[in-house]
Amino acid sequence: MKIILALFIAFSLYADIKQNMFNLYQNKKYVDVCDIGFNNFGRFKNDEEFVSLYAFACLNSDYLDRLSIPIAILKFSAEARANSAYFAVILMQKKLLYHALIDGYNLSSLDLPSTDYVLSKVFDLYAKLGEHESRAFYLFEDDTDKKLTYKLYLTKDDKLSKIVIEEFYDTITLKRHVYW
Amino acid sequence: MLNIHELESKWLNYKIKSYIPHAVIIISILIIFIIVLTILEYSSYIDSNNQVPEQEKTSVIVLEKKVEPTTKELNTTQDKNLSLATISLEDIDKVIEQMYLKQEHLAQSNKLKEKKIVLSPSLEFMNSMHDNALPYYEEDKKAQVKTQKSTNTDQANKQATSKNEAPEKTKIKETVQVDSIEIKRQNTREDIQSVIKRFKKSNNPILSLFVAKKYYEIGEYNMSYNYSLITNELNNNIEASWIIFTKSLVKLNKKEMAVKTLQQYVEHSQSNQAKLLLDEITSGKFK
Repeated sequence: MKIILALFIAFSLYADIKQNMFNLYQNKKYVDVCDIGFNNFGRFKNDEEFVSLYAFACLNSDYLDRLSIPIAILKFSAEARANSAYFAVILMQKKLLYHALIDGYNLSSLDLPSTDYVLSKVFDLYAKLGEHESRAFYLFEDDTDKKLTYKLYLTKDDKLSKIVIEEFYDTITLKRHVYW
Repeated sequence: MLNIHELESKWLNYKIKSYIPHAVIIISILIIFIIVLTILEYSSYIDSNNQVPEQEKTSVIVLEKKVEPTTKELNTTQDKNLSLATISLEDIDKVIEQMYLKQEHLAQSNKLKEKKIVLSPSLEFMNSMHDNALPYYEEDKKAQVKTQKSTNTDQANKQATSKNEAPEKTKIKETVQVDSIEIKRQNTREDIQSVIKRFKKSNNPILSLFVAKKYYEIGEYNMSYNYSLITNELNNNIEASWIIFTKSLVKLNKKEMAVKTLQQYVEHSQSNQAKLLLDEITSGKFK
């Protein structure tokens, strides 16, 4: 009887965390979802729905390095594999852009797939520039909407440089993304 | 005596002279035929060269240079020229074919380069999670109910403690609470009006979307429909605007229109939020 009760409580807790995460995700509280997922990852790592939700929340809250484990884990369903490839491309583009901005690595010869994520758009626009002298900041115009512009630059702390992408719509700042 | 040898030589000369016009006619016909053939081939070659785009012009010039000496040779020796001309023209045809093949290949590769592979996320798992989880707007309702309950309990406690106080005081409290609610509503309306003024000046879709959302929150679905429509006209890629637009349509009892527009938007954008809303509308969860 005690075992059944313990199992029931454990199951309800399991469902509670997942539902809570889903509700928070629906309310666009991506940072909270990413943190909850990160703290409970060990318990739910075999649940692809949970891992996918956690990964999308981290993606939307710009914690891209947290995608590395979901990329490795998501593989058992077609949907999971598609999402894994999607995350992998974004993570790789972030790393390459970081390398290019800091060390002057030439991206023009690369022909990578793209995604709808803001970093991918900026990556493609940056790669189109080809070989060039490094600038203090880059301003790119969106291919589909000319009022939508992206400003790309590096911020340098004592130890670490960070990529900053600012989205503008007609001079109004929409969102600021920071990656490192 | 007749000199037979002399007569025979004269006869031979006569015979040769009689064949000369025939030979001249045949040779002239042959020459005309060769000239006509070369002119025709050369004109067709020039036409094909004109169709080659500018990128390939450099290679065509090189080819022309190769062709020129062959045509000069044609003028000098007839028999040799004929064979050379035919060979060179065949070669030109082959080269042109190869050029076209290369050109097509380049165009295809350029197209492939332009059409980048775009990976898109798959959020189908959300649907299964959505069926299990409570929708977020219900949660809001729950929260509202909870707050209402808490306020009621607070009021009950207060009433219990202030039983000895006069009933007039409780009446005053109620009127104060009613006033506070009214003040909130006026504030949102004032906000909306100020944003509308800003929108009229700047025509910024973000402002019109804000207005649409606020009108939807108040429950003025006609106005939220209007402003979301304006937003969509200004920028048809804003997901939130399409969602407010279709929600307003549903609230205005135009469910079919809402479903149609949302279906078209989903086809256009593959938006997952729009898909979820479409499922909710079609299943009757969203009314």
